[in-house]
Amino acid sequence: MPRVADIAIGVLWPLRVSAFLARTVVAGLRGPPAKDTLMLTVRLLLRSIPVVVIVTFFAGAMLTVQAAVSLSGFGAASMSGLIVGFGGVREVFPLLAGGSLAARTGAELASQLQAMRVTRQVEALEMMGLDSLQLLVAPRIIACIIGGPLCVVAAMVSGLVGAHIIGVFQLGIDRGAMWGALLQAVGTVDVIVGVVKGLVLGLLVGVVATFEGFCSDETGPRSVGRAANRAVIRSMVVVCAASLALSMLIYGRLVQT
Amino acid sequence: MMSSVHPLSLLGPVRALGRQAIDVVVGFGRVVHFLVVATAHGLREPGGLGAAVQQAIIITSRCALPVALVVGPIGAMMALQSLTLMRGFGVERQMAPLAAAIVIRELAPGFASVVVAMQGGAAIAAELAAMRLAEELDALEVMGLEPRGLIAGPRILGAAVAGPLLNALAIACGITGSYVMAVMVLGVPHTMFVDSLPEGITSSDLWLSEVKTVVFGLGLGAICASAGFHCERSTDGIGAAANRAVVTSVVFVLVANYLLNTALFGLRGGV
Repeated sequence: MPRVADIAIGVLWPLRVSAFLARTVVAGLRGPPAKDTLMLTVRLLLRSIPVVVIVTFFAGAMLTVQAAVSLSGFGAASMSGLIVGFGGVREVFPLLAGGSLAARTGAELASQLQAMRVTRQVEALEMMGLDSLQLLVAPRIIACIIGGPLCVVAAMVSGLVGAHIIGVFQLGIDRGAMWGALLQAVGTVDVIVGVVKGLVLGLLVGVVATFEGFCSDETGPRSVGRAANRAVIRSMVVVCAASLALSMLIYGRLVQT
Repeated sequence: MMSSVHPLSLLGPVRALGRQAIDVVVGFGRVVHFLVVATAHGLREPGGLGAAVQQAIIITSRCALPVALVVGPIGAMMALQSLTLMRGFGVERQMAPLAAAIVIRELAPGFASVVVAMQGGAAIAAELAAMRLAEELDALEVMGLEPRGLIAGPRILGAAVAGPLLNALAIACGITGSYVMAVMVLGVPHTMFVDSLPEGITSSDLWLSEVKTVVFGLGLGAICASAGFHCERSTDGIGAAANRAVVTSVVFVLVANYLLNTALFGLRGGV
């Protein structure tokens, strides 16, 4: 059974994360180191995009197979483009892009910062009168904000490529019918919504991951693994909740009542 | 000095790609070997079954809340998007069965396993890597014990048992999520949702979904345990092992899901 103290910590967690974000924004206003930010962004893209591409390729394939199986009962397998559009482009691909970003870069950022804590490099910086929030945390969060939308765009492209390859070559759905149904379901607006989602999800992954690494008071080498673990699962939960909230906000009004 | 660009150096990327491919194949073989050795020794150890049950309880209780928090919103999203699609055609009645079928067949097993990889799997990798760093695993070997069977085996079996339990929870949460979104937020009649829901749930789908998560649990347990077991001996090595474990198992779940689907529905997907 969770103790009362655990519940209190769980309730306070979002507040602590927002306070951490506010402090980082204030510290980052003095200008994060440009070179570090650039290198971290490049590293994030190089490491996260391949994961995003593989994961969403197979997610697109899975959605197409499911849609074709469900719809072939009505003799409407070519309509599976609709389901890939509504389920994939709008929801599942951005969500999986956020999840892959959390798994690859989120865990990495948290374990880096926690390792710096454990080996007292953060204290050493502060001893020298340097601001660790400005130097270490701000560039990492900025890298995530830049990388998030790019990951989402890569996810959409790769998911659609997966859907196309599986739908057209494996299942033998007519190419024109599938893409016709798909383009009927989604348009440029959905790509823009995806980019907005990517910005928010990138920010959330960055903040949660750096918070878990930077603000933990655990010591010892074991805490490095635990920080990575917390960062991944908490940013995944936050990403899911935020993704639903954004969808409600943007698509909720499209439902005729 | 030789000329700076040797013609063979243009093959660099090709060589790197080849090395990557070889690494994937070798890594796959190593994980399968690790899985067989760990589970076989783990079951043969006295008290191995008890340890596995204990690990299953730990993993299930640690992952239950995150699974509910992740799959609930996903069920709600499915309801939202399929209603935007179906209200236009006037086939609102089909919404509950479609959402339930997709949740049971794909989203619940897939995302429950991803969450198990992120929460339980990363913890397994981090724990084993820390044991490696503290030379606890080496101590076991010196005493003539088999750390793969003793430490990794129960964790892998625990993940394989926790998978289907958490999948059942995920299915319940996903359907509840779509009910909340459809009935309470978007105003689908309660009776329509409840009456049409059973059309989307078949017992064969439920069984297949559970079997899938057993496979995913075994696979991701082996990937995470072997990542922690073979980690580099440094503080950074622990983080790197946890990170590699999570990423590899998430990719594994998605790829294995596709392969299982193709095996189950046939190459043409019943079209």
